[in-house]
Amino acid sequence: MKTLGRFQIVALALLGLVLLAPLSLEAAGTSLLETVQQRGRVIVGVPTDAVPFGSIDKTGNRVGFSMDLAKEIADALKVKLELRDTNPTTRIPLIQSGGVDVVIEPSLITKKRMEVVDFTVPYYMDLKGNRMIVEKGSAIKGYRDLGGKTVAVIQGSIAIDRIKRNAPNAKLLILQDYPATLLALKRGQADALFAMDYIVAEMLEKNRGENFEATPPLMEIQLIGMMVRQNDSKWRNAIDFVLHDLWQSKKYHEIYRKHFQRDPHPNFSIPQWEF
Amino acid sequence: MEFKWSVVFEYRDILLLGIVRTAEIFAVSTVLSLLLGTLIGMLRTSQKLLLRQLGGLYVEVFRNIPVLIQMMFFYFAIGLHSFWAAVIGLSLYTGGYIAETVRSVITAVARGQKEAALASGLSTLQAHGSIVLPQAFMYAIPPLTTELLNILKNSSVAMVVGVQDLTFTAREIETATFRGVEAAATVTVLYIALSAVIIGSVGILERILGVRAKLGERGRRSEIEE
Amino acid sequence: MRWHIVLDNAWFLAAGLSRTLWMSAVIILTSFLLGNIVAAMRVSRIRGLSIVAAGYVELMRATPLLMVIFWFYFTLPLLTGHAPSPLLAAVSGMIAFRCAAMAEVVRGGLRAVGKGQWEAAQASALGPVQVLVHVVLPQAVVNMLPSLTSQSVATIKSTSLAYVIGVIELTRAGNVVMNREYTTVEVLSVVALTYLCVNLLVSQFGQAVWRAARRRSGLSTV
Repeated sequence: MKTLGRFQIVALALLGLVLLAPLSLEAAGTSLLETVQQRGRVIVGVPTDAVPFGSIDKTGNRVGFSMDLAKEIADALKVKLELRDTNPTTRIPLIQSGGVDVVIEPSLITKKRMEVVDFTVPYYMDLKGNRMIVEKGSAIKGYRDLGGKTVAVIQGSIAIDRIKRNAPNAKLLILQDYPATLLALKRGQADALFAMDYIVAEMLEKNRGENFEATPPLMEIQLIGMMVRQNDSKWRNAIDFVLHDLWQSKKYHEIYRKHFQRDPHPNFSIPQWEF
Repeated sequence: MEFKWSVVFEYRDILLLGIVRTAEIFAVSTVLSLLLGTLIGMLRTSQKLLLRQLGGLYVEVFRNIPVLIQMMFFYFAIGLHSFWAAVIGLSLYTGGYIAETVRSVITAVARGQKEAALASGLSTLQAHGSIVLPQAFMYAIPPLTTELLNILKNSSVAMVVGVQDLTFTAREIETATFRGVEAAATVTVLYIALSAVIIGSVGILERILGVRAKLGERGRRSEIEE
Repeated sequence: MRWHIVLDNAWFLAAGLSRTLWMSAVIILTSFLLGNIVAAMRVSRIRGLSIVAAGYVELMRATPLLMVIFWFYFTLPLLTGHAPSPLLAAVSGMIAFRCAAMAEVVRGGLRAVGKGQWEAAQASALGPVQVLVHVVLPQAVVNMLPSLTSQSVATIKSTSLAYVIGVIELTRAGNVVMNREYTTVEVLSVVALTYLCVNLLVSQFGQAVWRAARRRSGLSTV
């Protein structure tokens, strides 16, 4: 027992050493823009399980809305493109630590997130917001039907906050990726699955033969932006300008139609500055 | 970079929940894998070849497949609830290791048994009680301690199938507050504490049984795995 | 049962397996080398080194591998400003974790060499280093072989955890296929079977090496 105690203390001490490591998140004063151009490469975080934003096709290639936008950004900045896998749990730590330069995920712009990262201008909007997938004929149509039911969501997603606020009596089943949530629903481990509209649409598309349906959209405006590191206006502006040009040249619309099979929402536009 | 340790206090509720959940997985898996492992271990030392082979098959299969895959199988393929998928996967996995420990204990003790019987005129019952059993525990305790610690560590894999254990909690605090270092450090300390409790409890068990386990090379042979 | 899904994606799964094997090889070799250093620290006469090494081993004994991987992927970057790729983080985390176990294997292997060996060798006018290299180490290594084999198998299994942070090894490859096609039993069974076969082969290989080594030193191979 004596030996045990001594070694545990040392283990704790080693742990403590970690906290004394020199910390400098805000490196020098250089903007990422300069770093990226010097490096010759931009590292973009994209999802791999969120069709049509990002997924992996049968041949192992990454495809999606985010990938195409990433290519445009790399071309505009005249650097090479390096893609990095991200998901709702890793994207902010990666921005904070400099692992990626920009994240093009379907990330909602929220105040809480703005405390630690900066957002570009919104690059996607939908009005339908979130929806739920339930078994056909289920009584669940909206937040008020969720009392005591189990809802499958992803760790770190806004869904958790939304459900906690609007349906505090619902039980949460927190998994690590979307398809896992659908599998949970299939297996009866959850009564409903909560995800963004386009994800729901895609999942239903893939499972047309099965016994599922989607609830009506929960009608919340969702503005989605790209994430960059905090307090780096030069870098953020650089990306904003690329988005601005994409919209102006209508290239954005082309890319959008390719992945969403429809035009951008009539109320959505990427701000256009005249000069 | 400053540390904001107050988040640890703010999130003490879910930290506590994480500890409880981890403890639950640990407790149930320990019981199940001990039962299963003892059973298979006895099969492995049976007189009948078929039983020995069946036991051997079990051990080979369940020790060589990653515990994550086993949990995923029970959750995604079979459709059990998160907790049970995790527990059953973990128990089947650990059971294989415990079976091997039980087997070597039984073998070692069988030897000792023979020697004891030959050496003195003790009745079989006396021989079992005062010589065989304490010896059995003496051999079994160090590898069992390692297996218990492995159960604790492998319980963290349960988060992949939706169990909100302590490791899940570390990620949860981090995604909610973006305070990664504070969350990870706190949870690691908690794991060290839990392992100390396990090691300490085994020590108490040794004391109760009046046995001092030999921490020689035999004990350390089945060292840290996974 | 849609087994054809597995066939369709066999190439992708094979790529995942290849990644798993590469990772495992790197981790096993590196952690063994580093493990020797930690073991040396552990048995060193210098109290400080010995205690730090022991503390490190205890730390890894108590911390789940998944937590260690998370440390390298999510947390260390916040402290150092450098973010490793998922692959680098997973491999580093696993090396750090496995190194502690390897250190114990090395220590055990050395201890199992009878004291008589040390003394006899020294009595025969060999210098301490020569005693170590020519007499003790060879025996120690043979002692370590069974544990090294089981640690190697454990490493191969543990690479499956890299899936959680996005490394495309065998488990994640299986997952991607499961996700894309929503088939579970078939894919998981094949993945499980693959791990089983690989690990059985590794175990057999390790046993064969051990037997050969024992035979060479004229010892029993049971």
